[in-house]
Amino acid sequence: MNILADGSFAAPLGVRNLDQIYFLPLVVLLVLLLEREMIRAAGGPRARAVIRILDMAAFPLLIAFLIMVALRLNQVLTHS
Amino acid sequence: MFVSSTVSRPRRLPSLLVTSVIAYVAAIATAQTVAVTVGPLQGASCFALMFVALVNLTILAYLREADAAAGHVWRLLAVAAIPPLERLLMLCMPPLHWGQLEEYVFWSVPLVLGAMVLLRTPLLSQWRDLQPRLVHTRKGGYGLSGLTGQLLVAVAGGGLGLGAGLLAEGQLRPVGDLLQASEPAWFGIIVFVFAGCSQELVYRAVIQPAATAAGGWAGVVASSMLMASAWLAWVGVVVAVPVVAASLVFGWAVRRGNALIGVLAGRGLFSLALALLWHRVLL
Repeated sequence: MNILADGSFAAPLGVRNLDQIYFLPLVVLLVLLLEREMIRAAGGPRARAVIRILDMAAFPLLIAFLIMVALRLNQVLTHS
Repeated sequence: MFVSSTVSRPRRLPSLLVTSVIAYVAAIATAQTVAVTVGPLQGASCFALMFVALVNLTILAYLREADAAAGHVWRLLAVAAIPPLERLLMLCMPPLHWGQLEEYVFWSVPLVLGAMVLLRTPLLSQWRDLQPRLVHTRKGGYGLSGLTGQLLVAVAGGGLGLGAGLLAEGQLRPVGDLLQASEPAWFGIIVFVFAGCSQELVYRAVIQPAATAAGGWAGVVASSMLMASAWLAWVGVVVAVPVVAASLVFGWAVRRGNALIGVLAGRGLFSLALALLWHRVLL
């Protein structure tokens, strides 16, 4: 039986409905954070302002990520 | 796209702006079509790519501006990144099973918090005089004429919502059936605040001032159509008529009165009326 295919591996945690679309905002957030660190490491006269632009772009995605984590925690705690 | 906004080449901006807006709207429409026809994951991926691309274009435009503090090209690009982010969150937030319509909360909370942070930064400082207040109207505040106008806008929103609902279903829906299927208070809060006011707040307080600064009344129409386009993909052409009309009325009201309260109430009533009449909203 392919447990990866039927999703039963996630059943104890009650998160079998995880779909790849829910990870898309997280991927975008990771891209922005990676870019932020690269710019911070490179430095330069305008790096601080550019990092502020990236921070503003990442902020809503970070909130969305925290909401998702809270929902999953709630789901796990409810099931346990 | 990266032409400096300083006075050296002022004549190139309008034609460049029109071309950019057409390309931008076409990209949004294409991604929306992909989300509806191909699948939500593919559509969301398009919006994710658009969002990341626009953030990076904002950075590049900022770095190329001769006077970045006064430049407005990078500011326009930054504001243009909001609708793809909105659509991305709309498509990607997970529906759960402890209520109805809860995904409205999940995507609107990050968006509104992001917009509030944005409003407190120097990013929008150039358009401070174009930004609407919550209640205080341009004609002198809390007087009868200002409040009457806001009230009329709110009533117009409710009426257009009823029109949209009737066009969708063709008949009135028994409200009792709806309230049995959902917690009334939860339903009202979600539809009024999260499905209605939050989107209006983001578009009228952040995007419309930027669009107005760039294109005057054409910017009002463009930002209103951009907001309505979020609905067009799933409500159909007939129902889209009152949706577009409401969006244009709200855009006009904010530009004319410079106050948000009537528009927020009107949009909340619009969403509430549409949800009360239309089965599909709750499916």
